[in-house]
Amino acid sequence: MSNLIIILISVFGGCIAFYVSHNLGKGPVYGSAIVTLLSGVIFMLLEHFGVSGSAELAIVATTASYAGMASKKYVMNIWQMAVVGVIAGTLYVLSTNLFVGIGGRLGTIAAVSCFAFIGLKKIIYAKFPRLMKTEDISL
Amino acid sequence: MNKKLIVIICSILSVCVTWYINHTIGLGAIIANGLVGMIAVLLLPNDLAGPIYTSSFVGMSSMVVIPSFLASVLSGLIVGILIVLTPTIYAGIGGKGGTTAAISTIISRLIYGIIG
Repeated sequence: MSNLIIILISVFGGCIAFYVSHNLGKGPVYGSAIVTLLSGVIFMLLEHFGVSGSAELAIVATTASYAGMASKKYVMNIWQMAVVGVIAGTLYVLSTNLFVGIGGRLGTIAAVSCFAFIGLKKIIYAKFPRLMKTEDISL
Repeated sequence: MNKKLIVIICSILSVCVTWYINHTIGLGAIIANGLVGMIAVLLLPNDLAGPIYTSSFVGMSSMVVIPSFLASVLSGLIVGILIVLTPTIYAGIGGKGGTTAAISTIISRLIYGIIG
């Protein structure tokens, strides 16, 4: 499956989980679980009907949905979540063969993505302090 | 009953159910995790749904890592204890639960290795 599609699915998965969790107010577990369940059913069906590589997209969406469980303290809005989704998708592509079969591997990728995003924000805000929003209390 | 004990019991159940749906019923790890998460969040209070969803990640392990139902019980116990011991560490970071689950799975794997 193309890396670009993987990253796109990661962005969508993370943003939907974040939107359901924060904008719809359903909470992080609901936000992530609904994305995980729906992506699992939809992509597994697609795989079943011959769209090869779909199963991997379910895993990518699930990984991003774990990142979408982040609190607004660290990821303030859906645009920031999109950046976390790009990082999560990229990390997923880079770590395809690492710790395969270990439960929690996808969540660990999600956590590393969030930490990387927080680090990235720190660097950008240090370089361009004008961009820093007063409500951003994560730094 | 003590709240921490309830969390540990729920964690064990969560890992076992996820492992069962994943391997015995054969629906796969993603659907198993999503199902357990949705059931937990719809039926239980938030302070229990979080630990159950986190524990469910452990049940997503392959048969090589968690080879039997009994092994999933032990893994559930370990992740339950870790959740109870680390409620505030990195709270709010997306993926915190997955990292807790990964650490538990690696500890469980080590224990199976020692026990044989």
